[in-house]
Amino acid sequence: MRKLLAIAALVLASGCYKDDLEGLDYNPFDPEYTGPVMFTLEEDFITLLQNPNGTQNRRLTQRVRVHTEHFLGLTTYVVEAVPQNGGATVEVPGNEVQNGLFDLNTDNTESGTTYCWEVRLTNHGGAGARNSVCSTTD
Amino acid sequence: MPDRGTMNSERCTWWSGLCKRSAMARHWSALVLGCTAMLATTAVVAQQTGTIRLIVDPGHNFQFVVDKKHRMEQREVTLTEGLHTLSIWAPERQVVDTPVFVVAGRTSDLIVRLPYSPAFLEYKRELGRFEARRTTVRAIPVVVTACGAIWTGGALGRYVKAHKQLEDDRTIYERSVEPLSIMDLKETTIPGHKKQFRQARTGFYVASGFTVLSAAATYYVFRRTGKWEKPVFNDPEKVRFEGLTWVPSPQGGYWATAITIPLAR
Repeated sequence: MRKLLAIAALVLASGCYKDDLEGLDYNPFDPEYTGPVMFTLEEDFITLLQNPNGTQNRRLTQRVRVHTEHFLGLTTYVVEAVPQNGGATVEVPGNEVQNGLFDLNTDNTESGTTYCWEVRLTNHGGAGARNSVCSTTD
Repeated sequence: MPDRGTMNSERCTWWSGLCKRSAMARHWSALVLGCTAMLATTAVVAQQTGTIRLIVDPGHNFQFVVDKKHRMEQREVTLTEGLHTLSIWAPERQVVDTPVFVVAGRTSDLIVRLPYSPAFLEYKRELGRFEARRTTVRAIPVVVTACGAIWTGGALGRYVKAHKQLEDDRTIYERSVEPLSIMDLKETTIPGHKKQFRQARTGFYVASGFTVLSAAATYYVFRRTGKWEKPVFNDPEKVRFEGLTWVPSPQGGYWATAITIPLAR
């Protein structure tokens, strides 16, 4: 009798199985990641430099924090940053990210202009979580 | 020489005064002598008995009637010397009538095997047919239910496996650090596994529903067949054996009889 009850309980319990694989979007390496933002602007500042042709270069440096705490496990990674105002894509390997911070530089910025980067997590050719990091120069 | 009667008549002549009373006394004396002789004869006859030891198959519940009069249930019987008739019977068996000659002072074995009565054999055949029919009717839903249970077990196994596959997909998703393989997992692998899971779940529901229905049918069939009237054995040999007979017992014995009332439906 107990065995029958156990089988019935098992059947009832298993009858509650659902294909609850909805909501698979919390892995930062997932291109459809919708979790907390992975990259935030820690600080930004302007550095005045001299161009080779003698003109002044207002370099905007955006210090970005990588929120590795959102990773589901320890892993290697590469950060890829694409400037929204035109320019070359920058790749930062994870081992070059010191204390979770790395810098993005934009040369020859103009005052009162907003400069954005789309920063995304990459690994083996694909891109995962991404978000924009913007700063407006004084 | 004169006989006694003659002598008595002579005495009557001598003692004529007492003759009438003496004649009365002689009659009583003759009666007493006669009775005494009869009793003595009976005593001699009663002592001339022998014992019959009954060795009967079946040995545990047989009964017998001696000389169509006295019903007994014992393994030995002491009878007067001479020819007797024993009618031996046991439940389900035929009555066997056998003559027995009892030899005075001796114990003789009477070995009898009581054959099964034709009515009992017919009853057994009828009971066998009844049991076979009921077993067949009951076996069908039992087999169907057993097949249903096996089917349900298999379907449950596939269902659990399919669910585990989805759980494994989740684990793979969480451990994966390659965006391309994650996309492949989400766009190809998981939908395929979800389809398998839904199919397994449907199969399990169908199988378990079938099993529950067949179990209910089995229960119903068992209830129905449980009400079937089982053949009853009315032992005609018992009725024949238990004709009016005297059954001795320590309390003094009693008359036993039996009647048969055929109750037609």
